[in-house]
Amino acid sequence: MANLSRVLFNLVLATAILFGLIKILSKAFDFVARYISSIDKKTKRFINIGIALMVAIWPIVFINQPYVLRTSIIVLLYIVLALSLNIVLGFAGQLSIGHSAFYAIGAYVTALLTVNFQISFWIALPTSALIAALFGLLLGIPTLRLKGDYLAITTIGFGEILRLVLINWTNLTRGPAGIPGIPFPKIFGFMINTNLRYYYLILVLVMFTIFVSYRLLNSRLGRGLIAVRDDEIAAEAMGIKSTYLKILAFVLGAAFAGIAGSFFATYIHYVNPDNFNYMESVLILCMVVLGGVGSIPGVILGATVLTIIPEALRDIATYRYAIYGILLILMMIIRPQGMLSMASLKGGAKSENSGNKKRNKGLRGLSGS
Amino acid sequence: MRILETKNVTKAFGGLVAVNDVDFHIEEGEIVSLIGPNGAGKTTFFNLITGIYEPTKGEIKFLDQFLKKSKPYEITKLGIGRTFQNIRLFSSMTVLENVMAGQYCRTKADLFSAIFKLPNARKEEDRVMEKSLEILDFLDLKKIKDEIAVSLPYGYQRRVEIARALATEPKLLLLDEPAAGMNTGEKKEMQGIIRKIRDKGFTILVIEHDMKLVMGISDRIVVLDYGNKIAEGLPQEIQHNERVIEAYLGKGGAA
Ligand SMILES: Nc1ncnc2c1ncn2[C@@H]1O[C@H](COP(=O)(O)OP(=O)(O)O)[C@@H](O)[C@H]1O
Ligand SMILES: [Mg+2]
Repeated sequence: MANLSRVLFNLVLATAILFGLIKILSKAFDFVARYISSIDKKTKRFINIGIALMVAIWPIVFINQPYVLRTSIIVLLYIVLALSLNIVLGFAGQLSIGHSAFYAIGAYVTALLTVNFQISFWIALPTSALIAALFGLLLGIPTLRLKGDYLAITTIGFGEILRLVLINWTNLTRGPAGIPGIPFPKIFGFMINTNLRYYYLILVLVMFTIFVSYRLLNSRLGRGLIAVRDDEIAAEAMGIKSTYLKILAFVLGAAFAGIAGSFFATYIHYVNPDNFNYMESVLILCMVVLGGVGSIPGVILGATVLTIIPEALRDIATYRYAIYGILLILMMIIRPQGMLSMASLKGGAKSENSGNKKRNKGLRGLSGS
Repeated sequence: MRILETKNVTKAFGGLVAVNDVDFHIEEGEIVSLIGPNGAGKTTFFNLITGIYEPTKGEIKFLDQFLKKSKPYEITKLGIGRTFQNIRLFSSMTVLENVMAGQYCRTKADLFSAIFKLPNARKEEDRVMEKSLEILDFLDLKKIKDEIAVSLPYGYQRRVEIARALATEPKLLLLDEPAAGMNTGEKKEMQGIIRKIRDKGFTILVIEHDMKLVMGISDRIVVLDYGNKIAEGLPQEIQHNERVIEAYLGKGGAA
């Protein structure tokens, strides 16, 4: 009994501390967003190069700490995953909670191709993306008319069905036993077989994902997508074909999740259906929502924070998931628009809490309507 | 030239006939006002023209084309732009981005050329930017182009909506209560803007309640009441039309 009250006390204490922390961090995020939106192009480029250099040198600094390297690789992997969901949820505004299905498809395609057919990873990677994209199309078309909660439920269903297929189609997937022995990738005789090499491989994939996300967002298609997300009726009245863009978002999002899955398979050397359960989808969703729906820097930050926090909380394992949960709830209450929201990065931060409520909607604005 | 024509257009919501058997037309270069009490069916009429609703009966012809089963985005592409009574700006976009989004249907770069900024996409982007800035300049919005559109005062938001509609490069512009919620000074300004747009060669159909504004800008006025067209004519004619006065003031008021 005494034990229980102590646990409760600790949780309340953690809540209070987190509450204060988020309040303070919230101010910090506003400050950062305001700074980012105020700096000119040249400074921005300078900062980007600085970050790129840091990220490039990072694994060399920690070369003798495999734990840091592994965690860094996982962070980068989740950045690809979160950015892939961001195309669907953040750009097109489609609440998809079955995203780990595409991740699974990418992983299994790579596993099957490299293990059963000894096909090179360099062919398996784009093939995984392509097949995941195909499934994105397959899910995107019938769900076009669904919005908000209904779409969410349907995509959850899709994720679960896929997982059940992976478990039960034992001839192909070996069922719950999974597929072991996925080989190291090899390019022109150069083997990617150390954490350092894997780090650079996933870093290239992250760069590619960020590149495509930015270019897409700043193109006519990106503006169309955001328009559909903000107000589908107005978008259509402006000549924007929303059905096409929604499907495009599903296909692209699935393709990048497939790429992440492909990397996962070759890095862990083993896939099984449990890697891609519902909780995985929820985790990716949390990264996007917490970071700031639609905002690329926000989503990167969200993926980083939510991958590192459980690692950092390893020492207080009992409280790990409780604190994780409390953090999510508090964030939604205090800062529903996410850490670095899209609007705040455009200089809307100063009036973040005033004026039109429609603007900083975060996940709230995505359901129904 | 007759740019838009409707014949017997009817829209029923269940038992409620919101638009009833309306014959209507607008000539190129005209400013026509659509007036009528609240609930008369004016907005519904706009929604029928722009394909948001499909008529229960009747037909709509734009230029030489019947708009049967056309989707809203197809109709916009044909050349009908609109604003909304309850402002519907894109809430996460700046003023400039809102207007650039309006140019979507006049561009065609595909995914690949957009992402790798191939020459055609680059050229197109430059054109979109140039055109959008030109429209913002035309409507005196250039100095607020980087503000989040929905954080602006009401009057500006209405103007941004007009800018966005102009960006779709319409032949016919539909304005749904562009001066609603504005004070006298702003209304006067809006009147100037509507004139200015017409002088650029656009044809304009406007829903408006403010009689002074309506009388000031209209070449012709069409009056709806309970979904029926009850009058049509020059501003002076409408001003003294008994059925119109009755519709606005009720039977007792007309006497
Ligand atoms: N989607 C709808 N479903 C049911 N009734 C509607 C719908 N849209 C409009 N109406 C009804 O049609 C009538 C005309 O509305 P509206 O066209 O908005 O009038 P106005 O714009 O002239 O004020 C009103 O009685 C309104 O309640
Ligand atoms: Mg109306």
